[in-house]
Amino acid sequence: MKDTRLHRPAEERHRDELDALAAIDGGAPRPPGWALSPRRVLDFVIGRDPVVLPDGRTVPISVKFQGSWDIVEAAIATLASDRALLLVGPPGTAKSMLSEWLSAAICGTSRLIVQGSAGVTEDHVRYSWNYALLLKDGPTEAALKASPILQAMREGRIARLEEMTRCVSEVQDALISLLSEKELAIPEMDNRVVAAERGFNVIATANTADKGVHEMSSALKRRFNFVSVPPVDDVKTEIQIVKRRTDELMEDHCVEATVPDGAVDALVQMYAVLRGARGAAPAGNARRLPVEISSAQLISTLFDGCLRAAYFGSRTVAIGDIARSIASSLSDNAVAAHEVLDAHEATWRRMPEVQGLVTQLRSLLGGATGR
Amino acid sequence: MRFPGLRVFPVRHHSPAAARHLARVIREDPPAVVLIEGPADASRFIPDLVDAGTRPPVALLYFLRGHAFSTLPFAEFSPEYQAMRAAAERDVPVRFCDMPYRLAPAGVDEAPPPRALDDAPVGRDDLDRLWEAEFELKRRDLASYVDTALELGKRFRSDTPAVRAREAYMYQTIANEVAAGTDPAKILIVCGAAHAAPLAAGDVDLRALDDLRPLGEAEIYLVAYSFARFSSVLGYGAGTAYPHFYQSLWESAGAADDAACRMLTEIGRDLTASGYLASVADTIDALELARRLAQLRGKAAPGPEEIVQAVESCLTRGHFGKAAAAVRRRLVGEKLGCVTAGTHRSPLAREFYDFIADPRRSPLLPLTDVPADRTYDLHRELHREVSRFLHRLAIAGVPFADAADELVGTMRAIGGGPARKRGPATLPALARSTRTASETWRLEWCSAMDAVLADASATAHTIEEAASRRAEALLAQVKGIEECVALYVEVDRAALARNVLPCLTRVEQLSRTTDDLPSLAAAAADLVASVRYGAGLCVPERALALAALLVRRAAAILEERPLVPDENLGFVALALDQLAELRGQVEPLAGLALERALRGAARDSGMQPSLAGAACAVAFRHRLLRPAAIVAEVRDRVMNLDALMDAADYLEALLANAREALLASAEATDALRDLVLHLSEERFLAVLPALRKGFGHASAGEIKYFMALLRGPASRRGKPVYSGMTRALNASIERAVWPGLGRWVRHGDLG
Repeated sequence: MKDTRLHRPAEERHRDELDALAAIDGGAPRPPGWALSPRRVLDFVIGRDPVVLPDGRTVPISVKFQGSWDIVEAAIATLASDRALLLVGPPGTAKSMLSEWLSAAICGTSRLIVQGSAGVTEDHVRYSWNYALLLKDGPTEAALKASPILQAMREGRIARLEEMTRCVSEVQDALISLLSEKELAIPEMDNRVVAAERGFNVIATANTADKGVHEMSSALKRRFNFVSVPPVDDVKTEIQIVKRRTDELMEDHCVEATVPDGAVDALVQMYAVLRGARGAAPAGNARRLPVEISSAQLISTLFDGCLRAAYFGSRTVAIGDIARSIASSLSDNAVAAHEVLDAHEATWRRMPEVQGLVTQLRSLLGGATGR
Repeated sequence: MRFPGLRVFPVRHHSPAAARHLARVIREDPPAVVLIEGPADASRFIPDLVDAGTRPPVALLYFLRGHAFSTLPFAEFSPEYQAMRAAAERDVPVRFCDMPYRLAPAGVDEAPPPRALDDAPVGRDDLDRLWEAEFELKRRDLASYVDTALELGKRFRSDTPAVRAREAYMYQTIANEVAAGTDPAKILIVCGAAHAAPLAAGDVDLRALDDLRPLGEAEIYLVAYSFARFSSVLGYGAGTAYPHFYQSLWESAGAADDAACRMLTEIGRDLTASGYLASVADTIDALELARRLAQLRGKAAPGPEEIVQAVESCLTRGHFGKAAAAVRRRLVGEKLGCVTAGTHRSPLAREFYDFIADPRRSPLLPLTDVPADRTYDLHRELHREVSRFLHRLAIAGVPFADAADELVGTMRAIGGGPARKRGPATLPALARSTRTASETWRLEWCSAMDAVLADASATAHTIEEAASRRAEALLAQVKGIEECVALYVEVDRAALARNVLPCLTRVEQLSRTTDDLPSLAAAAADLVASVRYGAGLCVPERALALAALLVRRAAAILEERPLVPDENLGFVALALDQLAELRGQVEPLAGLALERALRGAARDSGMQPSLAGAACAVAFRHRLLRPAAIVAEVRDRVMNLDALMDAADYLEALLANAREALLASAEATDALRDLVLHLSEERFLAVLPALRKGFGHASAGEIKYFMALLRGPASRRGKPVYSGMTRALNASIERAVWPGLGRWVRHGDLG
């Protein structure tokens, strides 16, 4: 039966790769509870030459994380230690995906996840109860609803905590004892203590844009090793990322559209200029677009262009589709965006591959602003 | 041709592992002679290098006259340095055997760039990382070291004409040694791993020597060096990125894990001292992470990369940006070497080091390659002496000290010398810089300094003479009077007696052709200030007479009704103000001439209105015109309906340069009030654009204040009465004054 889920977890999507890596891992030393050795976890995340299995089959290991290997190595080394891992960086830098890949490779599941928000309570990181059973039988094992983190402790797996700094301080405080003692007391069950199995650890992510929302306490910070995930600053790499992720999204959403290479190049290069990564300093004071420009934003823009092309166009993404997609995302700031484009005029003149996109975008923004 | 038994030891420059093995080889089995890959013409410095008074890091400084300089640095952990030390202990002769610096293969016009003893043909990061992982972080026995180094050398060898020529030269030196009767098996060659295999195998084409040609006369000196300069991070391509870490490796006899532990502990302490919460437990975690990272990367122990990452993750917790420089500085280190006092130095370098070695002066002149700021009080003789010395160095183009004021920057801009900062000075900056009795300098030692001193030694016997010669050259290039006076001030502060009068003579010559008021004003101000704070070498009367000449010249220019572009009007107004300030300090007749010119310009209807307005403002500020006279002048101008825009320009310039002073003067405000209130409605409407323009630069508060003055009663003596803005307009004024002013006053609307 065809899998109709929109998102398949990494351990399922890349099952073949994980199996192949496990097959060649042999007796390589690994931390207790890990499904793969650190070296193979690294291979899984950054990609490597195809694995040739004993039966002769060849399994390609795709490149998943396109940033610096140092980041992945530091993350893996941290997870092999006593400290938890905190991936920090601006939005759209693949922190969550890195967390997913790492947990899938290390413990075989990436689904023990708590999505951080202002609505998360202590129960979400500790445990809660099935109140019907609690009233009927009292505090029993059957009535206990373990949180993903408690589940990870019991099974010696990796728990994921997304957007940790969006959680209120009570929730963050609850994590401190979990991470330092590696055990959790359940007072309702005669103070039963659940001790974490070997292999347990936590990968948290935090967005630098959320800095100060719920600032982490020093005590909690000390339980984490911080690994910064910066935005991709290399245009070629970013083009690859945007292409690959857009293809995946099209597959997940059954969208059939062709994306010409030139369109992706134009999109990424134009944003590289607007970020200040390329080109001369612009004229005047207008320098940055009034919206966040992450790789994730580019992927979203391109995918939006794909949807337009697939359902309202010729199924081939045209520059106009991308321009319309960008213009709609900038509709609240059309005047400012127009000024920013004008300020980079000298750079556009030197980049013929981008001029078409800029011209159409200007025209659309100009229509919106009455210019 | 091959020399059987020839002992070739492959090294990598700045490799503690190579240094350790090599020193042991020489001590345990001393050869008859040690030939080290290094320029043959520098062999005479080997005794100085191993002298007890020399402490690495030091460097051989080479240059050909007229070319850029190069350095060949040695740290304590450099294998060549340890080879020299070990050979000296065993009384084994040591010589450099590489191509002399003065030679180059045909087709190479420039002096060669700084060379590593083993030039890496690939991205240096690759070779560095590989070498570090294979030799520095991993303990190897001698045989394993030599085999692996030879293999790595073969892989990274570049086959270029320059490399072939150098190998041929080294091989020829070996052949000469053998021809002199030395057993090849008793000759030890210390060379880069890339050259080891060809030399050992005799795979060298001696015909490459035929193409060598001299580039010129090479100067070589042994100079102190520092870890900061050693580090390739800071620009030295053939150095090592983190010399302090390598020093730790050397001191821990290759125990890389101990070195990493020591580094992390030091960094943890530094971070704690600078406000980070980096506890001992955090440092332990950082070491653990560094070890795991090293393991993951197949390294035997953590290296600098792992240390940096561990610090970022465990000690700074994501806030690495601010700590990064401090961490790198710790890994790079701040060690500064010194050379034995007996080493051959150029005469000027000797004078320099002798000067700063004086115990009275050394606190004032720290020899450091980390920029250090020092302020000298020019009232104290010792400080004046140091200041003179630094000014001489600056004029001579020796890059040791930069004046915090703009004068040196200007002087260097004139001569196109090795200015390290700034462009030409601005007028106010120049004025400021010469009105102070103290000077602030930023001192920073660098090896380029030794090169310049050595270069200058060819034509001068003392720093004073070198500075004087360069001042002469600079004077010949001077084009503007401002530059010339800046040079004069510099020369005066440097006490270069020979150059003072020529500078002043040139100033006098330039004054005849200069019609630029700001330049004349700045030059006159600097001349006056130089008498106050200069070295006092020139005859003060001469400088003051020249200043008076310039003031008189400015007055004459003003009387000639110059045309000033709008964009320069601010500078000219500033210049007039500066000149007016000077009039009490120069010859009285010059002062009187200026006063006359200013008064005349203020009332001159043929003068450019904006310039006349500016002159009027200056005259008012310096009490050369009464407020009533100024207001009368304004009235005359605004009453002339044919030239209303001229009046507007006049008023604008006047108010732009003396608005505060005018509004603070009761006499002026009363007169202005009378002027406005006695205009007819028709006339007021006609004048309104001029008033708008005149008040164009006024702040909202000033406009409100002026409005209040118009509405309020005439002041008594002293401050005018402010009647308040919250109340409705006085009905009588509303009736007496016309609707236009009413609107203007009510809304404070000038536009």
